This record gives sequence, C-alpha cells and structure tokens, in this order.
Amino acid sequence: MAYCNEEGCQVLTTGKCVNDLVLSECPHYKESADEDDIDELENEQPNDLVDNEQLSSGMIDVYSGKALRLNEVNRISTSAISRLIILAGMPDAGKTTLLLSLMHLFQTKPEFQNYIFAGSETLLDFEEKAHPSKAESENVEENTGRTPIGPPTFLHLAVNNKTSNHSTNLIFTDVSGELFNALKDNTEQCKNFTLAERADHFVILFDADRITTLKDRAIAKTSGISIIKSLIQAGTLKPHTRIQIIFSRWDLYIQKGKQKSHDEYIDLLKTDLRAQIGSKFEIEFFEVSARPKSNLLTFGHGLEKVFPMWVTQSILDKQATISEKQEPVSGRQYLQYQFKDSNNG
Amino acid sequence: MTPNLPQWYRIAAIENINEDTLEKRSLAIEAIINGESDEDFYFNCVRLYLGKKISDREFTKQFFTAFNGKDALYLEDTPLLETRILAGAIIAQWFSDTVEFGDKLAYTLLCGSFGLSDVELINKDIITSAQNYLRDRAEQERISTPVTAKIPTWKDETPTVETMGTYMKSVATYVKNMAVYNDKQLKISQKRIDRLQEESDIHWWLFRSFSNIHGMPIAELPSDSAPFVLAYELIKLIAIVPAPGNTNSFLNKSLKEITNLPLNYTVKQAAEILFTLKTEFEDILKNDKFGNLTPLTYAVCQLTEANGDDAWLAIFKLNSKIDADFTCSTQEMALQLFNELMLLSIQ
Repeated sequence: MAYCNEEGCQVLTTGKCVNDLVLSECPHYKESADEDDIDELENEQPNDLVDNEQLSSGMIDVYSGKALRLNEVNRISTSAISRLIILAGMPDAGKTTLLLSLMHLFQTKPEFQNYIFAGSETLLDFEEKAHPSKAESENVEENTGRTPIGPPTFLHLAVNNKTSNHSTNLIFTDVSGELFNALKDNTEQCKNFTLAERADHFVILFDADRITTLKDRAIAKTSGISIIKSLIQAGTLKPHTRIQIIFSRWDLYIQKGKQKSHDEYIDLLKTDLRAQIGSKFEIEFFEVSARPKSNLLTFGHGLEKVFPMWVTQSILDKQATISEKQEPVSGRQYLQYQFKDSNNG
Repeated sequence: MTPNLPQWYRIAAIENINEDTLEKRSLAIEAIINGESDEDFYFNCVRLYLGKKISDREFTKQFFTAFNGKDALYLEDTPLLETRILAGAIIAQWFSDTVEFGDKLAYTLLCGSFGLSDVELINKDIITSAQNYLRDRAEQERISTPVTAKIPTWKDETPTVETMGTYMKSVATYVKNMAVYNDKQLKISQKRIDRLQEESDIHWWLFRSFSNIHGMPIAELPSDSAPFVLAYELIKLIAIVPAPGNTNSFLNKSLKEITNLPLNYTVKQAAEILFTLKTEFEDILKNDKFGNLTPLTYAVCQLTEANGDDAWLAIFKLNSKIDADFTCSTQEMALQLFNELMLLSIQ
C-alpha cells in the first residue's frame, strides 16, 4: 500500500507530491511500506485517534455573530452570489441607522417587498447596534451609536424571494463616516479603497436635515460629491457599480418650512450630479426616513424603493455584451433575413 | 494569465484575490486545455458553470486535481461559486484556443442556460462569447471558397533509359498531387452544393409555407404543436453545422402563419406535447446523451420514463435546476428545441 509521511502532502488523493518531486525520487513516498515503516505508522495511529476524539467531542464552530472582517467576508462571497452594498456618507449621515431599520423591517414584518428573512451571520452585531434605539436601553431618545473608526467591517443579511424562492446574500459595509471624510479630495487614499471596485451598489447618504440649513448645506453637498468624484478619479469606483443617492432624515426635511427653496436646492444638487457623473454611471435618487421622529412618514420610509434594487441588480448585469454584428462574410441573402416575431410587431 | 479571469473572479471576491493566486489558476486552466481531457469533462464544466447537477464523481476529482496540482492552497472544499467561475473560465479559454468540438460546447452552453434566471447565471459574457462563436462559425462555414485554377502541372518529357527512374518518380508525384487536388476540389464543391441545397431548401420551406411532416399548409397545423413541428422541420433543412445565426428569424416567419398560436409555453406543456410527437420526430428525442444540458429533451425522457406520471417533475427540477412551470414565449421555446435538436444531430 502506498503512503507518504511528508506533512501536508496529499499525494494519495491528488497523485501530486507537495514538493513537486517525481514520486520515485521523493524520500517521503513509498509504494509499499516495509516493516519499520509499518511500525512507525502504527505508532502514529494513537495520535490520529486522539485528534478524532477531539473532533467528535461535540465542539462545533459557530458564527460569532459579530461584524465580519475583510478576510472573513470572502467565505460568503465565494460560496454564493452576493451583493456588496457600500454605505457611504459623512459622519452621522445615518448609514448604520438605515441598515438597522432594514433589519428591523424584516424582524417585525412577515415579508418586506416580497422578500423574507433568510439568515444572517452577523445577528449579534445587528442587535448590539440596535440596542440604543430600543426601549430596553432606557435611553430617552432612540439613538444609534457611532461606528468606531477602523478597518471596514461587514454586516450580512440573506433574503429569499417569495415568488422565485431564490436566496440572495446582501453584504453591507459598516464603515465609519470618518473614513469617507478622509477619502474625499484624497485620490491616493481612494486608490486603496479597492472595495469599491467590487461594489454592486454604492449608496451615498446626504443628510437632508443639514441641507436645509444655510450654514451647512454647501458642505453637505460638496463633501458627498467629493467622495464620489475622488473614487471615480482613483479608478476604484467603476461604471458597473450603480450609484444611489439617498437623502436621509427626510422626515425632518419635510417639516422645516421654506420647502420651495430647499426643493430647488435639492433639484440643483441632482442636476449637478447627473451632469458630472450621469453619463458614465447609473445614478438614482431616493428620499429615506429610516427611523422617523414623527408620524408623518412610516418607519423605513423610502427603503421599499431602494431595497429591491439592492437585491435584483448587480455588477453582473453589465457583463454580457454581444459583439457588434460585422458585415456578413458570406454575403448570402438568406443569412440576413430578419423576420420579427408577431409579438414584437 | 487568462485575460478576463480577474474580472470573472470579481463577483466572488470582496477582498481582491492576489495576483499570484490568479496566475496559478490561469496555469491550471492552460494545463487543462492542453491536457487530454475528453468532451465529457468540458460538458461537465458547462454543468458546473451553470450550477447544474453533475452525476460524474470522477469529474469533481479531476477538476480538483487539476487546480490543486498548480496551487496546493486550492482545497477540496473550495466554495461552489469559485468553482463555477473556474469552470466558466475553462470553457471561455477553450473557445479562444481551440476549435475541436467547439460547436457542441457552444450549443451545450446555449441549451443549458435555457430557463435559468439572471440571478442564477454568473459571468454571462461567457455565454455571449458562445453565441458569437456560433454566429461567426456559421458564417465561416458557409463561405464558398472559389475553385482554384491552379492544378498540378505535368512536365512531359520523353524519358530515356537513364532518366526512367526520375521520370517514374515525377509521374508518381504528379498523380499524388492530382489526387490531393481532386479531393480538395470535391470538398469545396460539396460544401458549395450543401450550402446551395440548404439555401434553396430554406427558401422553399419559408415561402411555400408547407409542412412536410404533416403534408399540409403551415397555416393549418395544430397550433399547440406547430412550434415544435416547425423547429423539427427546420432542423431537417440545415445542411451545414452550426445553423445560421438568424435561425430564430426563420422560425418567426413560419410561426406567424399559424392562427391562434399560444403566446407562451411552460416546460411541462412543451414536454407533454413533444411526448406525443416522439414518433413523428423519428425518436430523436429519446437521445438523452446530454442529460440536463438539453432540458426539453431531458424532460421528454423523464416523462417517458415516468410513463406519463407527474413524478418526473421533481427529478427534472432537481437535475436541471429548472422549474417545469418555467414559462417562456413560443418563439423562445421553438428556438430552444431547435438548438437542442441541432446539438443532438452533431456527430
């Protein structure tokens, strides 16, 4: 019986030496074990048994439930089709609140936009983040804690389409606003933000409440636009990624008064963005109130429009392009007939 | 490195895959292409790429060994999406490097992707490349090479006793060259005849609007089975593989003649109609050679095996990844049957 005593060598299953040696020259590989080798193998057996015992002692790896790090998130993305949604915006724009509200909708409703909850590997993190906004926290006002500054982490949510019974993994970035603050106007930093290359959706949040204040609105506008422009200039944000502009805290916006002038400003912002990046990127605008403070809007207002896009659209949509029809080489007339079907007129 | 591999990998990797790993994967793909893998290996690659069930256990082992051989870090439990990407890359590389059984491979890709939704398909440009490949090959195969006027020349010199040996050698060379020339001319002429035959047959069929199988005008065909009958009739007229790129156009023209043509068909409806047409189709639908890569044929085979009982539906869904209730337009269904029959007819 052939065997190999080199650690990690899988020659018996793959036929290939781990050291790339010809099998006849490999000192660790033997076609048939002689007596000494058999003794050695037999001596090694008890250790293997101990390992097996440890394995069978009932210890099972479980998810920590905490936000996933970059090296952990690939486990999900390599096993099934996933959508990466980058939630960007300046500090306190409402990125985490938006996400928590979406999760809350799945926790409290039997379905949301024909999708049902299909699992999450980061339930604990969702719960921890949502805690300050819950009654158990005994906070006077609903609140969302600040996302700590540090390397990007990810929150996972799997949803299942009720009609097609097809599940989709959504992976949301949980990145502090300070990082995006650093990214704006810094192309070098943007080049290192390679996550954007893979993003199916790049969601940037504009705080609509700040846009209504004359003091802050110019900063709110330029900082958001700068993030997008810097990433595009750095080449990390590519046209296969869909850009969604979300005006968050819409409930506060609609209560401010002087609505006409604010509306004009927002229209100007939309026109400006379309003019600057609309030719290369698919860009859409949404008004969202993730956790409204008044009863004017429903909980998660606007999410019903943006959420289905996150699930159904991906970077794959823009991959397939049939090459331009060249002049037929044979020139035979019958190869050029184009009878349309009656449904297409 | 396989040019599009980083782009294809993008869907699977939130964290960028490092270049070294991609290089090793590319080397493994090249080794597979240049190796001695048979047709079935590539058909299984199509199944893996499309996420369909693979019954050949040897394939999984062969696939793993090929990649693990170049990169020991490629593990046996490599996640499914990554293996699907690699299988797609192997197929795409095959189209760019080789022509051997390329038609079959391209047709399996087209037929196999039928009924799969956009969310299930990955790297759709690979399927598009198969469509482009077939379209270009169809045109290339129908080019009429002009009959060359350059025939082997014969320098007739009266031999003498001294030059007899040389003379006989030159006669032998001439005869050999002439045989090659004739053979070439025969092939060119046959190709030209085939093309003209196909062209005239299709013209006649399109504009006469008469069903040869049923012996009646196309307009009078039973509307339920008409799309399938027409697909079968058209396949009989194709003399050169692959079929012309505008086949759907021919089908549309004929389908327009049918009154009360159903707008849509489910796979189940199509299978049940084809089940009744089996004998008219000269039992071609009994050929289960490509299994779940030819969903309609596979459905008919399953239906036959189940003796008409609905028990086949679950097995069909499990193996083909398509719901038997999947609905598509009549034109799409007819084209799908045409493509499947085309694939089955390739030797």
